[in-house]
Formats: sequence, C-alpha cells, structure tokens
Amino acid sequence: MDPLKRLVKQLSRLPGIGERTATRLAFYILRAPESYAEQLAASIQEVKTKLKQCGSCAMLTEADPCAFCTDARRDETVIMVVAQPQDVLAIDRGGGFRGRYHVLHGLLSPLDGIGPNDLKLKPLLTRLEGVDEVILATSPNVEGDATALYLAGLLKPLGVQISRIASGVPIGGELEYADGVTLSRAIEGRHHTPRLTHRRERRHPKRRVPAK
Amino acid sequence: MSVAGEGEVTHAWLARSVDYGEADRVVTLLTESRGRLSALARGARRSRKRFGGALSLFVEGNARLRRGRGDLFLLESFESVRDLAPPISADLIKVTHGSYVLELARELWPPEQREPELYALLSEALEVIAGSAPSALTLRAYELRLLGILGFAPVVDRCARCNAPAFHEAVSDVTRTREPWAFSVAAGGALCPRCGPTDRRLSAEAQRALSVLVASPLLAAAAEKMNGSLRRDLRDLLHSVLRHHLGKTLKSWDFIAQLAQA
Repeated sequence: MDPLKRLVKQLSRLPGIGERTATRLAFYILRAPESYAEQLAASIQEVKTKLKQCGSCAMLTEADPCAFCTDARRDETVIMVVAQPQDVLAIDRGGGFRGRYHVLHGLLSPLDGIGPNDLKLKPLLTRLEGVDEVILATSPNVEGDATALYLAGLLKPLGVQISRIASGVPIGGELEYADGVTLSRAIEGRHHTPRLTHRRERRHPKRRVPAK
Repeated sequence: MSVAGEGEVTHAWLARSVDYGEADRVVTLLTESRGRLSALARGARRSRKRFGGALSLFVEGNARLRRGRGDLFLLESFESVRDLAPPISADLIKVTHGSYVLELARELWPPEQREPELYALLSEALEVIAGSAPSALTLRAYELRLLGILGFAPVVDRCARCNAPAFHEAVSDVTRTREPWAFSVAAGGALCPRCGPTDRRLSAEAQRALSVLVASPLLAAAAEKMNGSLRRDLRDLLHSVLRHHLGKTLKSWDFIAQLAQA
C-alpha cells in the first residue's frame, strides 16, 4: 500500500471522518510544508505520551492535579459530573459554570455491556467532603439518564444535594420545528416563572396589594 | 410493497445505533413489516428536523425506509408513535430489562424476516416493562415465548426424547416414580428419568413453573409467586438454552451481573 493510501486509511479511522474527508485531509497534509507534517506528527505523539488522567477529576491533563482542580477561583463545593473530557471543554466554553468537574469516561449502557465497573466512579466518591451539590450533566438520552439515575442512587445516602441538567427546546430554536419527543421532555421539565411583582408592591413592599 | 421506489413506512423499534462517518448513524431496526434490518440514518447526529429525539431506544416510530446499496436501507425519517423512553428511563432496572428485551430480539431475529408475532411480543414486553414494576419473571416469559415463535422452545411438559408426559399425566411406570427429571439443551428440553440423566437436573417445581410461564401473558407472569432459588434456576436454565442458540453471551447479561455486584 502506498503512503498516501495508508494515510487516508488511518485518517478515516477517526470518528466523524469518512473516506472522502480523509482523502481531502491527506492531500492537504501532502501539499503543506514539511514542517507542518512534522508538527502534526509530533502533536499526535505528544497527546499519547504526555496526557494522563487527573488523579482527582479524571480530566485529561499534562499536570496532575489538573488546572480545573487547582484553580482557587473555582467553587469547590459544586461538582459537575460529565461523560467525556470534551464535555468539560464544551461546558467551560459556555462560561455558565465555575465549579469543579468529574469525568466518568463513559456512560452506563446495557446494550454495549458498559457497567458501573467501567466508569470512573470511585474517585468521585472519595472527593465529596465539603461538597454541597453534585450536578449530573450526562446527555439526555437513555444511557445518560440511566447513568444519572445510578449516580443519584449512589450519592443520595452520602447526604449531598443532587441535581440534573435541564433538557428540552434549545435556545433560539422554534417550537414548530421541535419533534414530539423533545417537546414532551420540555413540558415535563417545565418550571414556574417568578410571579410578576405589582408596581405598587414594588414601591411599598410591606403593604399588601388588595385582591381584585 | 417495494421499498425501491417511493419507500415504505413501517412501525419500528431502534435496537442499536452506531456512529458512522461525519454525521451519520447506522441503526438496527426491528420492524413490523420487514423484521430486523440495518439502515443508514444520514445526518442523524446533525439533523434535528428529520429525526429529532425520536430515533432513540424505547421509542416506537414510523420509519420511512428506502432500499440502499447492498443490504443497507436508507432511513429517511422516523416519527414517534409510542414513546416509552420516559417511564423506562426513570428506573435503572427497567432500562436494563428493556435493553435486554431489545438485545435478545435483535440477536435471535433472522435478518429481513417478517415476524408480526415477534414484533407484537417485543412491543408487549416493552409496554409491560414501562407500565409495571420490573420483574425477572416477565423476562423469563418473554424468553420462552420468543424461543417458541422462532421454533426453539424447550419441551417442558413431556420428555424431549421419548414423549413421556410429565406431571400427573404420566403413563409409564418410569415417569410415575419420584426420580428426578433432567434438562438437556442439546436434546431440546426435559428428559424423563429413563432418557436422562444429564448434568443438569430439572426439579418438578421448575418444570411446572416453565409450563406456567410459557402460556402466560407477560403482565400475568410478573404476578406469579416463585421464590428466589426457583427464579435463579429458571434464569440459568433459559440462559443456557439461549446461549446454545446464540453461540455467545449477551452484553446485557454482563451488565446485569455488574449491577448486581455494585
């Protein structure tokens, strides 16, 4: 097999890469300067040799403990549990969470034979001292829900508050295009909006507004 | 109806989903009109309009299929007609039982073989799992009926070799005795004391329980009174039959074992 075919074959093994995209990428690498190919090869080797799992949260990191675990500005009383390292990056990019993380490296899946022993559960149980809340941020599908249920059962006796991320209609999405299953989930997980305050009540908070 | 032209719509349950290429999925569907088949769901990981949340475990959908290249169908759309995911996903044991029911049907169902009775049994099993307290006896009754539909049902009411009836209908001197019956997977069921013994003994209690479960609706099976030891005997016996026909163990069995240890 010639080197180009070998490269296409290796690239097409990557998740989300079909043969056509692999061919396009291979030709890009072929036409790029030699230094780029060297850097790419070195980077691939580096992630395999230098990255390891953080001993505390199981996030992939060069230094143990990782930057998320050593950042003093993060709230250490809240832990968000996710399935994969890329979920940490996605949530952190959003900027809406400033607590600690815990990566399970998988989800419970009876159909794939992935059971509790295959997940990073023990390190989570050993870092709950001083933790007030554990947020279960697994995907809203059968495997994600099953994992959240299992974790809730495991953590509840330890006296920590457990919450689950919401699911339903995405921000910016249109209801008419949402499918029935997503809409049902959104309705099921609805929450009450805060009561609108009467103008007079705002001016005189202690005075009761007479009922009409 | 041919699926080459305008496509065909059939009721289906999703039994497996594997990511493929950039944004696609290859799904295994258990369908009402075409049995078990594999289909390419183009853009399933990206397109919200075409599949949304419907292409999911424990959701029965109207699958629009078109014949693709080779054995693979093209799944054009999948619209939910019965969503059992919320009640099943709310209980880990139900998720385990539901997954097992799907995996067993997926593994035993020959490809593209129309089996309306099997489809109805699968739907009944998922409905019972979703709507009632989880019971291992529902799974045992499901296993027996599934094996029966596919022609693999173990013979339990008589000797699989000499046809000597079990229980009170015994006609020969041998079967009237108190000697224990045996069970042989290779022989296809119970063996009377004359034709046995084999390495696996079959208690009269287990033999009677199998006869009850094989004729029992799945919902009624859960209500049968059977002690833990008998339940374990029935599970081990039926799993040995299933292992014989499958030629392997099921992933759900490993999961159930891990869950029991955890």
